[in-house]
Amino acid sequence: MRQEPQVITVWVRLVFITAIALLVAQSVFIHKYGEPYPTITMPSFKGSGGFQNGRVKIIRYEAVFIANGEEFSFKPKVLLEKFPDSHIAEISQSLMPTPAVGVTKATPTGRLSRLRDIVFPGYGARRKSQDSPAYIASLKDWLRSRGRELVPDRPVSRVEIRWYWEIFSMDGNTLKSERVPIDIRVVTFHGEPR
Amino acid sequence: MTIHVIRAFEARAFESYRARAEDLSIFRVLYATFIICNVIPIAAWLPLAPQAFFDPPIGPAALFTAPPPAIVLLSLNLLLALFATMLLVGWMTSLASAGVGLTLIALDSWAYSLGKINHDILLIVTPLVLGFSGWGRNLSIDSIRFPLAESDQAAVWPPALLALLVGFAMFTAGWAKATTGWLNPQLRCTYGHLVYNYLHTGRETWVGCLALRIDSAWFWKTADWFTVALELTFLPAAFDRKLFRLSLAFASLFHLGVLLLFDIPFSANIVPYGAFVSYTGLPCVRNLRLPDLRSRLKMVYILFVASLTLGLLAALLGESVTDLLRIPFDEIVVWIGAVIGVGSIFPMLIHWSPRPDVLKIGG
Repeated sequence: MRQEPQVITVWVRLVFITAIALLVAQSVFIHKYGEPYPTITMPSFKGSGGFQNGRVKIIRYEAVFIANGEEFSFKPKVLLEKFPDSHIAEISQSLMPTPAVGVTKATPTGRLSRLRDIVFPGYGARRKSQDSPAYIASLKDWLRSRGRELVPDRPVSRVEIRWYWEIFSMDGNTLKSERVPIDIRVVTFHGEPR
Repeated sequence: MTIHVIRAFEARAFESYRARAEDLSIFRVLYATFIICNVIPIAAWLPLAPQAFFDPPIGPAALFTAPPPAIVLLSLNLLLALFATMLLVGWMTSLASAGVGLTLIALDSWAYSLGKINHDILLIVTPLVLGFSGWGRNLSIDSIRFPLAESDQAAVWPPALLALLVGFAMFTAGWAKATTGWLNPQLRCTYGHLVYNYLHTGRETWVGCLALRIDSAWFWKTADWFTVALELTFLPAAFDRKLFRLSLAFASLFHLGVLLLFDIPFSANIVPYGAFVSYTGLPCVRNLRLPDLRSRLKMVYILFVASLTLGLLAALLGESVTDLLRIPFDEIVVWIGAVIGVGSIFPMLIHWSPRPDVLKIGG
């Protein structure tokens, strides 16, 4: 049975024109200010993922919990095991020595940026409050509680987030790696009750 | 003259997306099942995050300065369970579609308030768009309460709009790659991201481990170019359902590759692709007969209670039904998508015709 073509009304055309206009506007917005949520986009996997001149250079860290002079080292995946895998890299920015590497959010300079900060006070929270006592205290509390879980029955006195570049290259059929230290974020627990 | 050409193109593009309401209704049931069993709860882990991790993008979560209390997230998840159950049984389908979409946006806004956006937006726009398609016209309480006149054709524009959104979303990924080095013969971008994902994120797959040892510029450059080409062609393909379905079939295989190499099961894309499958053409569906009205009502009632219970249970326990049962559901969905993709590529190419295929379905 052949079906009659459905009539395309003015409203339908309007819906499509609006959709296309919004998609274009969203692209311009992302290009200028970074990605908001929600938007109609897919993961970009921009750039070469650290590949350059036959080598891959990536930034990494290990979380070292120190108790009685003894070191207990954990990978990010273990430290942040309570959060989904996909969030680990982004959350890790909060553990960087200041300021966070790779943070691309615009700083408030113009009138538009000030308006943005009034309407969206939570935007750029990490950048804005990374040095504030409340921010540091919340990070310290969390690391302290992770210390109790990861190194039970040991008095953790300090946590060192040791950041380094890891440079990978192929040597024949083998993957070689080389470490170059960057910086360490040290969080100390004074008077930690046991 | 120009206006005639545009109108003809427009009519042809829209007409190619003509679909049976039955197909979309079957998809509605599959979609709602996925949400109930695999998506709920969203952001149940957020209360474990300290204030220091809070860093939302511009959007609903950035209206606040801290993550919400656990009770807010629980309430939103319970609401999502209710709307998804209504969508499953087709009770007030339009309201349920909008409810699912908007609750997903609210919950995902919080889930991404630590700075990472997971790009499952197609899962969200699907009910918001198809809510206008008539996907509640079959297999639903609505169809029992308000029997419609004899027309099993869905509205053509919602599937066409969904195709446009899917095409555009994929295009954005392709464009971002094309303009940041993926076309540069000197770079191995897939390889670079694989190393990062394997060693930094810690997604260590067997295939990824093997692939890391491949030291071939040609191999990795082909992977780069293929990825960019696939993602960029999605947008023009969206103007014709047949071309678009071919793109979806290749994309399903691409997602399987991503799963094997990167351990990223992108089921949030595979599920929306299901809106473009002709389920009633499948022999297993064609031979199904619905029971009489009384048995149907009883079945719907049981289904409603069972799915609502599952959704509420998942929200309260803070773990999805499939996670509780230790079922790798996302991975299974990606594999099913790939199988359907392979199964449809060859018939599509063999029976290729420039005419819209929908006219054949009615016969």
